[in-house]
Amino acid sequence: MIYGQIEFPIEGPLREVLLLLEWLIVYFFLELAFIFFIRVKKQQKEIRTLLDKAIIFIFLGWSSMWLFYIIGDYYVETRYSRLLIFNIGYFVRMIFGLIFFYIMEKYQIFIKKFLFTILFIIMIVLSIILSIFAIEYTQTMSTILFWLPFILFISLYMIKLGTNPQIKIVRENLKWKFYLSIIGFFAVVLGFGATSDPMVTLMGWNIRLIGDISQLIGVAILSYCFSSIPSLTEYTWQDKIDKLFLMMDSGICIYVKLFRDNIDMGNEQGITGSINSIKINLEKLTNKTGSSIIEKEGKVIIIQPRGLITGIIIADEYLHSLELLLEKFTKKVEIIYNKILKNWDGKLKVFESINNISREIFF
Amino acid sequence: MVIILREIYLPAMIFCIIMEFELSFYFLFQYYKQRDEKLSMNIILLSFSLLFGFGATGFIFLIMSSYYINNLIIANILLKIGIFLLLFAVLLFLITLLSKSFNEFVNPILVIVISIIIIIAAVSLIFVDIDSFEFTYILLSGLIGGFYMINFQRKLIKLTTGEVKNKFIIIIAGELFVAGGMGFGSGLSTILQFQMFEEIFYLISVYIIILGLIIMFYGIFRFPVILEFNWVQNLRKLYIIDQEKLTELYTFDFTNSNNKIIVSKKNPDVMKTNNMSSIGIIGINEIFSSITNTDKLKIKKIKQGESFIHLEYGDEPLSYIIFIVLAEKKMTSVNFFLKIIKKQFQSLYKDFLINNKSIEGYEKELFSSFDIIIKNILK
Repeated sequence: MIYGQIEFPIEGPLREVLLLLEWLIVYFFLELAFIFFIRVKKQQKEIRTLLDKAIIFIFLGWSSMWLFYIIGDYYVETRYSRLLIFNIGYFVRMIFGLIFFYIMEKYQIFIKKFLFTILFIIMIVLSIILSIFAIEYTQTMSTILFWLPFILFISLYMIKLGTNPQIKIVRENLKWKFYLSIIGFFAVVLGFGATSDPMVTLMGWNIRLIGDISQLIGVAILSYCFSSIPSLTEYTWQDKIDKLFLMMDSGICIYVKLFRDNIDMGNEQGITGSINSIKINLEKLTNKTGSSIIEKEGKVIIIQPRGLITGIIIADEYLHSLELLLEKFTKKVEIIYNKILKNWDGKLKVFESINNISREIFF
Repeated sequence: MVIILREIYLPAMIFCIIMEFELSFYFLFQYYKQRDEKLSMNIILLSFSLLFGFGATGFIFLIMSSYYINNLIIANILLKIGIFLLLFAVLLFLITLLSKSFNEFVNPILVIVISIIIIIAAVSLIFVDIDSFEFTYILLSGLIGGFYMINFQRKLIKLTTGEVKNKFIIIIAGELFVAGGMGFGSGLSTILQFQMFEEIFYLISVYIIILGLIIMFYGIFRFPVILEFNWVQNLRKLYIIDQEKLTELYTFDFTNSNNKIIVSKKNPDVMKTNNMSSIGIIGINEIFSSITNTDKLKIKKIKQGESFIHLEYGDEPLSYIIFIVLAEKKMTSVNFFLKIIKKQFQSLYKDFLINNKSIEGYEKELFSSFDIIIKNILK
């Protein structure tokens, strides 16, 4: 099979070197997915794992796509079979990409809720139609169908990350890692571009060799940067949180914090009492205990019961990060106040210091 | 579609070598990270690092000899260098086992005998021909060393507890996969006279090895500090004291009953005596400083008969908090434990101690919740 001046399957002196490097790309991306998987598993209740979890699928997608590239470029004789195998590769990559977008957009909004997930579903449908009716164009079109939404999303994410004032305060040394990750990203993207058929047709097999090496360098840089880049979900919850309460099992409010204004509500006991009755009703109705999330357009109540106390957050919208933070907060209060809560004498003064814990967890 | 198996298993083999180097560096990194604590047991991390580092280098020579060199003489030399490095890796591991920390369950004479056998085998590589029957003895010496290493780790698992034990179990499982894969790929086809399927054996074995290495990766990820055996049994009491107010913020009695750490019931009279004696330590510190003119320096350890008192001081702005542990034996692990206690206590109560007006009268109950943290640390 001849494509322009290049021939497939790849033969000649560079075959073994290229094959070795491309297998290494497959293995390294797979290894990175595994490393991030361990990280997620080890810190399941941390907010930043949401980013780690999403990245696993990008690495998996890249690795499996290269596996199909290897089969197509080194072991397939006809052009049609090569295209067919590539298409399976593109499809697998897009499915993993879709999972990536879904996880990223599940807990934070980029322009519009699930915008990129919907966009990507459309791209997947388009690529399936294309592979059925005009398979010869899929190779070129995959650049638009995959890369366009992906680069758009990454750019948006980076801009949001770079302009978030909280991140600037919390992570001062982030700047250079931010730029480094951009270099790594481009090393992978350009490296991938260099391995494409038009580039090889123009510049020969050597450019594919450079592209492979570039991708390996890029993946090393990205893995280093991704391990320390914060997840946006760590910070976006601040605009959404409204009120925070802690109540005893009886419904007595022992702590309240207002995030929007400092005017005392005065009726916090009434609010926690009502929420407690909702909680009891829901538990009786479903015969199940655990956290409750009650959503209404523009407002959400998250109720997080523990053994002795219950944490409540009232926010503008449900964010998984808020639930995790509430769990962390109630757990810490329960550990520190364990003995006091068990033998509580009814005096609220002792709980004033919970403010220190809420300041630490909710900035 | 013609598939050349070599093109599939050779990159996987090279990836295995890279993974082994990664493991080696990761073990070394963990070792250096914990080196400042001077915990002698952590030398095991260095042993693993050397084993994987030299082992992987040995494999590079073996692959070069088998797949990339056509000249038979050079290929044989590279093969011998590869085997030498593998034997050297096992030897280094065994030498580190002679460290004092492993005296309890390592027979030093046996280790020395096995080491000498390996040294003799490594030296005889110069004279023995690869095709000769004697060459099998050289490989056998490496196997003996390998078996001893596995046996050592089995004992280590028995003696350790908690997360360290779990991690060692995962590591040994990974090692068994790696060893099994190597055995399957290198020897089984020859023994079973399946030379025609040799490459299929290689292909399967290399993925078994990768699986083993992945399991090991999982095992060493965030490897915890290895404390000395039975260090918990040496702990007697913990005091956390406010030097400014001359009050005990928290105490914990460590008593070993049915292998469970329990908090002893506090008798008010005993508590009063303990309180006096623990606060007395502050007095010792002050007298010592005034006699020796060392106001800025702090006492870190006191030996009293066979017992030891370890002291740790709070970080600013909690420098007035003093952490004291009474232990039966001198152990570096106790110091490390005290540092963890300090870190946890400060992170939990820092804000309370700084703005403590609202907790007045509730201090005992508030700080007694620290029992939960202590029990978690001791798990």
